[in-house]
Amino acid sequence: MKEKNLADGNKDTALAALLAATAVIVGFIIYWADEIQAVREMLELAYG
Amino acid sequence: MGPYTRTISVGAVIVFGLVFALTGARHTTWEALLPLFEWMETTPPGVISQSYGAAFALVEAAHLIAMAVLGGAVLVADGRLLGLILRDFPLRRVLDQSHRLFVWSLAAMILTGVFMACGVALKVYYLNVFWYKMLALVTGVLFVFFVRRPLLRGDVENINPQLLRLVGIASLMIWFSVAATGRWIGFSG
Repeated sequence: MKEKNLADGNKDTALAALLAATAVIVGFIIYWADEIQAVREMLELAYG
Repeated sequence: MGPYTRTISVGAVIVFGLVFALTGARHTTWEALLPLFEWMETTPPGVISQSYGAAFALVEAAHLIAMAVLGGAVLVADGRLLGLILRDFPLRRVLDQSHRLFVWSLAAMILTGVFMACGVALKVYYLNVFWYKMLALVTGVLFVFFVRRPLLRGDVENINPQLLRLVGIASLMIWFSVAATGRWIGFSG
């Protein structure tokens, strides 16, 4: 029983890490892609 | 909540963050925080920062050093997780020692950061990038103490190496964002 609880706990921690890491990576890509796009548009306005 | 309490909590935080970002709650909270930022400028750290440029510069230097140490701790730990550096050293030892350094530098960074923010509270209040930095910082702190550390506290050798790499990459991305948005504040407004 104790071993099962431990295994469940490890699985929970691993699943939480997978979920959080994926959300962070997706959020990071969206945010910085948006910022880079804004800079490109500004450069285009300035230099054509 | 059963055996998946941590996973459900992480999911709930993500959903809450999305709802907060995509609804009017973000603007309402921002408006409600204005009195706090006005008050911050009247506190002793705020007055000292505005009156004595040297004091602000000294605290900023400490802030940047703390950020450099924190960045070093993150690079060492995540570089080891990704298998890029310090492969001759046991993973457990690298993670534990870098975490200790991380905690102290984070505390120093927050203390000096609050001091500096008091001096320019109303300026940063109106900067979007300041709020992005706060978001990245809160995400980083939550990620380290509620996701990364609990995962790595156990038997790291038995964790899926792909998951370790994913966590390392996510951690690097968060702290890169904290550093980048932090420097951005210096060039804004």
